[in-house]
Amino acid sequence: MQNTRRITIASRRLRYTCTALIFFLPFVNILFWTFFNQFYFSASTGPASMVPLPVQVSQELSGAIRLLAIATEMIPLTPMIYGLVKLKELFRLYENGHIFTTGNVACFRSLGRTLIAWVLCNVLKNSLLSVVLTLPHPPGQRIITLGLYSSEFTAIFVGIVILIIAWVMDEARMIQEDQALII
Amino acid sequence: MTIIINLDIMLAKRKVKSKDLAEFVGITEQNLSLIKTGKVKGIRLGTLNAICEFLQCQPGDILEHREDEA
Repeated sequence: MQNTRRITIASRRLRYTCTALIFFLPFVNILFWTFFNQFYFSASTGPASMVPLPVQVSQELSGAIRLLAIATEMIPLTPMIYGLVKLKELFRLYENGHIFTTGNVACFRSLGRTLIAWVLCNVLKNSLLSVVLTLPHPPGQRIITLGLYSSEFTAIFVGIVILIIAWVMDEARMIQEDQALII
Repeated sequence: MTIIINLDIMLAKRKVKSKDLAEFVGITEQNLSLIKTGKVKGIRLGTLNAICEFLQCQPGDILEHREDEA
């Protein structure tokens, strides 16, 4: 009983955290690019190399370029927000005492697939962002990058692990349903 | 091979209500209904013990094994 209560409390807190992140992440994205020039070229905020961009930015970006950058950043943000929605759904189920149900299994499956989708979107975003950030350059000096970072390999691995956990949870659901029919 | 549950017959013989049996055994009426209709996957020995105690009968009076007709 005490454990159930702890699950309920922790799940409620994590659900609220997911809700906050759903709004916080796009807001940070918009904020970052809106004040990009002040942030990136200001000596007081530290070296420009600390900002993880696919290409080096050598001049201030116009409003149109920054708008394009915001839109490009939304490509991996969309599966991330969808993943947070699914995580929120999972924690709501845990909060209501539903541990091994078809809903839980569906959430795990969605989360695994979303994480893998995020990796693909992130690769695409990095390539598009390199084009967007070098658009102001004269022809012949525009760059397109294509690459995978170690964090993306980790995300793919974790996504596959979550999909396997979804299989295990489905088995647990069947066991619980069987148990419910033993009176 | 089928296990037939003759709980309805026993309840009628003893002239007792399902509600009273469910209350004595400590299960819901819905669960008792599942037992009566044979929709359960199993019965715990504790549950069977309580049913037999209430109905003053043997497990064989409630459970019947029947071979499937070829």
